[in-house]
Amino acid sequence: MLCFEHVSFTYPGSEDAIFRDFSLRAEKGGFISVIGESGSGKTTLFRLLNGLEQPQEGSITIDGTPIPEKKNFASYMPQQDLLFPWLSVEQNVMLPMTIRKQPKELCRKKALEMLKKVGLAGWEKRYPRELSGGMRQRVSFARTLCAGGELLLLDEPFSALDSITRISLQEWLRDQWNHLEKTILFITHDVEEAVFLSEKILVLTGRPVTGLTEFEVPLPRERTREMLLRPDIAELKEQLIALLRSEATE
Amino acid sequence: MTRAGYKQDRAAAERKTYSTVTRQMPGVIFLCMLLILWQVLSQAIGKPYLLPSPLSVLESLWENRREIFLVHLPATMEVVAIGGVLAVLSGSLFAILMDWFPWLKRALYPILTWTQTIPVMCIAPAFVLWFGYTVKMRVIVVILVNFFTVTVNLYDGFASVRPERIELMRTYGADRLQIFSMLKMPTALPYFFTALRISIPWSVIGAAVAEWLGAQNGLGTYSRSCMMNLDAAGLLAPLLVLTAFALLMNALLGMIERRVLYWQE
Ligand SMILES: Nc1ncnc2c1ncn2[C@@H]1O[C@H](COP(=O)(O)OP(=O)(O)OP(=O)(O)O)[C@@H](O)[C@H]1O
Ligand SMILES: [Mg+2]
Repeated sequence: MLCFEHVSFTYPGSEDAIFRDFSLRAEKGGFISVIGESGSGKTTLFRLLNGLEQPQEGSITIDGTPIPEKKNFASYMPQQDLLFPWLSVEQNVMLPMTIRKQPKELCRKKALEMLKKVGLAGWEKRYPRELSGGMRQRVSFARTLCAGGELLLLDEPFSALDSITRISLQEWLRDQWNHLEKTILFITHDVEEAVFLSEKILVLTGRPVTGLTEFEVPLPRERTREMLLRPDIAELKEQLIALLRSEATE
Repeated sequence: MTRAGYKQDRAAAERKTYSTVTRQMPGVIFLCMLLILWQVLSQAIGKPYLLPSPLSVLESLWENRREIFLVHLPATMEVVAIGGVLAVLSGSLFAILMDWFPWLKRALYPILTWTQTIPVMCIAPAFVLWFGYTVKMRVIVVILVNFFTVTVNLYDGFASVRPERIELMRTYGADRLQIFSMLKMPTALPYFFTALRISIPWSVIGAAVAEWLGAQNGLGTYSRSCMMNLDAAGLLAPLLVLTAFALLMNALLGMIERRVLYWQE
């Protein structure tokens, strides 16, 4: 259980608060999307979870333990792949484990396993420049898995991709999650993407963010793109868009 | 790699060598024309003590080959090598320290960029006053000519790391030393090679100028003594050697660079 309680946060040196008295609860094992307009504080939410920023007030806990005392519980996948061009695909994937000084053989085995999972077996000796954008994102995802957290923080991982690659990676990610024992928090701008991928959608509201509106997605675990055409789903999308629009004009 | 992919790569590589040849062609032709013009002009003027022909420079080089290659070239190479290595070491050390201690960077960086505009060659005579006509004096000139280039380039390399990458490593729990060795060093490597590529010719120039000021042996010294004897061809011969020496070192560096930076586009 992930818990934000009365969290207030302002970037040091900045005037405007990003979060004020913000609370959030999220269950284990879900696929939760976070949407909100640009600049609303989605990435900041992840930075707080990562420990890259500390809230001025309130607490963030995982199963009741404050975040600073937890280690390696969250693995962050940034918006750009940020692969290291001088490392081979395999070495990139191993990076989180190399940093933790785990034995080399173990790292390599794990990296190969993860690469197989993301459908890139046989590419381990290649360098990032030889890969397409979609492949690079999959390597980045494999690296995130190698970081070993139970909570995956994915920050708009597909926003830089063309729409075809994007759709196939969405289907791929959904399939991955069905087989992984992980909680995923997924940031996106895209309502359709959020609906297709997640069980639950959180919309950040207010500026600074003071609360959120939750939506359950009434789709089964195994889902297809055609289901997005169902009337109840179409209505959910309309609701989300209306809410985002009213937030934007405030 | 697929067979077709391999073929494509081969074709691309061949195209590349071909285009390198065609790209360099105008330069080569122009150089030949200049040399011919020089030869014709010097023969027309007919005063070899003023304008020696390129052939006579080569001839002078051949006649004095023992002295030039066995005595003077090694002396110059020694200064270039010692000075160059020390410049790279000290410059790298300063760049690393400036990266590690931000206050040091704030103190030194403005001064460093500012001192880059000082023509070290012109203050070289002052070193003669302090250190005499010694190897030490010449080495110091070579160090000073290159120190700033190495420091500033390498520091800029460290500073060019994308902050997102640093943060990503921090989310994996990396400490400062790991961020430095696994991220900053590789990022700065291309900048380091750029610094070396600039440093090689300047080390040679620095050494020659320092020798020109006064030294027992060295190509600069040799050139200067030829000037005293109004031997224009002899004056130019060592310059030819110096240029060839610098070009050779740069070619070697280029080969190493391509090996080390294999991952670049
Ligand atoms: N390091 C920082 N220092 C100061 N202000 C910042 C910093 N990073 C972000 N901000 C500000 O905080 C606000 C929220 O930024 P954040 O990156 O969390 O938005 P976002 O919801 O992720 O936006 P987007 O959808 O465009 O990625 C923005 O107004 C931004 O200008
Ligand atoms: Mg963002």
